[in-house]
Amino acid sequence: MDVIIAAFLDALSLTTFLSVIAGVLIGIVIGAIPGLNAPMAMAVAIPLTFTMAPLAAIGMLVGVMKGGGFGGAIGAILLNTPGEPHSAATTLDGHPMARAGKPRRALQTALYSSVAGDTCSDLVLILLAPTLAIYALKAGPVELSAILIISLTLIASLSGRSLAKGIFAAALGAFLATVGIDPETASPRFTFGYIELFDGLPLAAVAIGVLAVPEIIERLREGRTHRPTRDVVTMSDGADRMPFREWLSLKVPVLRGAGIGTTIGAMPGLGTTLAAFLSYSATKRFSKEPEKLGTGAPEGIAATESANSAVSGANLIPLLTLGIPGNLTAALLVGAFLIHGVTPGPLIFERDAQLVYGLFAAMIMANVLVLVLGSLGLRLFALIVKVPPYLIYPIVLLLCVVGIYVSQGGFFAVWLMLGFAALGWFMLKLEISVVCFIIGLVLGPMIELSIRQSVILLSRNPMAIFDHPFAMVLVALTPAVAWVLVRDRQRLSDG
Amino acid sequence: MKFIKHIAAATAALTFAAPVFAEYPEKPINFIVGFRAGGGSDAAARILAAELEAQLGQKVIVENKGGAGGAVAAQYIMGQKPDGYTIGFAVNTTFSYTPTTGSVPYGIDDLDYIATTHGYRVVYTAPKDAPFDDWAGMIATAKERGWINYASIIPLDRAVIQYVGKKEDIAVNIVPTRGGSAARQAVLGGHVDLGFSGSNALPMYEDGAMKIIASMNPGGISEHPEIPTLETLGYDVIMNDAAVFFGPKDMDADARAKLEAALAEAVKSEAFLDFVNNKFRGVERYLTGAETKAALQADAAVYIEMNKVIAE
Repeated sequence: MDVIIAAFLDALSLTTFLSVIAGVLIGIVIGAIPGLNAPMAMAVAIPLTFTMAPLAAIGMLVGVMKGGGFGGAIGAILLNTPGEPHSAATTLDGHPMARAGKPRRALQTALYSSVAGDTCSDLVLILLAPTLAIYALKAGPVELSAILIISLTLIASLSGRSLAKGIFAAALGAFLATVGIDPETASPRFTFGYIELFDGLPLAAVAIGVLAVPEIIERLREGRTHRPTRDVVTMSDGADRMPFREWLSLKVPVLRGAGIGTTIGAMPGLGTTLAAFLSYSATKRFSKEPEKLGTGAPEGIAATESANSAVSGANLIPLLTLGIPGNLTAALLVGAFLIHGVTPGPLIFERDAQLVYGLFAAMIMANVLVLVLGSLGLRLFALIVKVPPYLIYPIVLLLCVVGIYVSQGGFFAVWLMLGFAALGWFMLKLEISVVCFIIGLVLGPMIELSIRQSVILLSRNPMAIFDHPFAMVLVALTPAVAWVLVRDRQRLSDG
Repeated sequence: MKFIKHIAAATAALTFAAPVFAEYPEKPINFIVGFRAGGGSDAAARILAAELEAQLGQKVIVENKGGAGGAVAAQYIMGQKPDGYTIGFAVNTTFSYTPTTGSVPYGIDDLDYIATTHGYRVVYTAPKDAPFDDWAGMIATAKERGWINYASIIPLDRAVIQYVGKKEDIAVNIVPTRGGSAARQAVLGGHVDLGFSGSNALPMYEDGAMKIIASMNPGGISEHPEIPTLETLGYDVIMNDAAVFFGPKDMDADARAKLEAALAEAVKSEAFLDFVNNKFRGVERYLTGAETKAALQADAAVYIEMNKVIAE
């Protein structure tokens, strides 16, 4: 108990408090800039923390992580320029809502849902980490394969009007994800002699190319022929503010998102994109008005933002207890722990108890700060929408190019981004779901690796499959899920 | 107009005159780190960059060009001017092993080496409830059951275990994993019998969370003499990974010598020693440029022999 009190006092010290504030600000700003994202903000912040005290340093990075989560939603909602694949889910309803003259309302929904998701998963982390970690560890390649297969089936409901086009887009994404070194034989696949492609297509470059750049071009074309959308210009601040009570009506999608995000986050190797799209699909499935999703429904924003924020807290469960980072941001945190001489692992609660509890306190503090600083900034952020397209979009395009150049290592990635922008533009025109493409691109390599691992593990002893009852149940359920979704679809198109 | 011409002439004269008086480094040095930002290699590189700045009195601009275990940076550096203003950071195996696989367009002789600054630890880990406690026990388990499952991270560790499999006549089921943490996860969760790991496994071994049954470093793990090395176990392979500073071929001799001297001092700094010994848990290992090149060639010879045995 003394340790916990001492830890909270550490977290409340002025230096820690100021570093968390600085972290949250860096995160929000860098996350909001098109072409940049939360992991990049972390990479920028880590060298700044070299000389700081351990708790201040880690608190700052946690602030960056959480601020970056909300910052990503700002670009996605206001400009339709997601900086990370998972933010693509936020654009689905966030951007239509902003375009319909309610940018502040959309941002508020994202902010409250993001902080709520974060807080839920932080509480799970604080209360249950060691227990949950043991279960998470039991999920090996066989279990992950089963989870990914059933998830992909659920997400297929996002394929838009044409199921065939959605499947085509996902398959194309999965195919392009095979570029790079074969995980098993280490021989290059489809790299055409470019060493830059050995580690696969740079995800941020592809995602921003396909998702953001065509949008920028469309807006610029529109800006030349049309006046800016009227309701955005004439919107009054009063009508565009959401009473907190109204957000509470979104509690079901928010809690569901937090649950999905926490579960996915606790299992290393699945990640934010899966959580965001799973939560979105589930909300669509159980919505009373599923046809409204994708046209600016607050439920859609709440579902994705709570889920992707919940991943970040839960990611620390395997990180702290086992030293295993669940995604890129968590991997960067491990690096920071290392630099400050803290070894994540089973004994961290004994060896570095004061630091760990201090970290927990800093996490809760960061959530409050994201809420406060985010709310203060809402009015400012929403102003972006009032800037004429011919001014803002060229700047956004420039930021995308610079961001990719800096973070992905040079012009090679910039050219790739522009090439994928052309692909994205054609997909937009042909009404092929870009979102399905991104899902294929992100989940494809995970599915490939976990299935190949499972096959290798079971190859000498196929009967060992019976040691994996959980996976068997999920695989057995998959056709049932597919059947329900196909039936839903028919009902929708009939009605 | 005349005045402007005078100024222009004076500026030109100064610019041309400058190299005669100025000594390397007279402008900031671009430092290309062959790994993504945020990891242990990147942290070491950034600490050394700060020390270099102090030694040389010039800015050292760190840029990350990660990918293919340092090969992306190596290829990039190969195409840069050898004036000493663009240098790179990768690991020993980027030059000693990766070219032997025939998948990259460079070899040891296509680059110049400035120094080796510190060594990495590499070990074989096993779950804490594995049915064996040592290397011999692992081989026995593999023979009795017919196979063992092994979590691999990089092509080299894959090749080494294939080599061991050939020598011992055991079937090794090689499970590819993405990165050190994924391989550790497979071992901690008991999904494999054996895994490859860097120094991150050492604290887990000390905590009793996993077993370490051998090290690939020549000389072993100094704080744990009970861990045998592949050499003492009777295999003539090693994995001698270390951080290498390098530059384009035919680098300016003065610049190279100055960088080498500055790094010799930088590795003695308190901040760096603390990082290597207590945080990264690597080994102190400084080699000059010439020694680095000789070490790379010696290692490459071992790997080429090993590849032959595997291909038989």
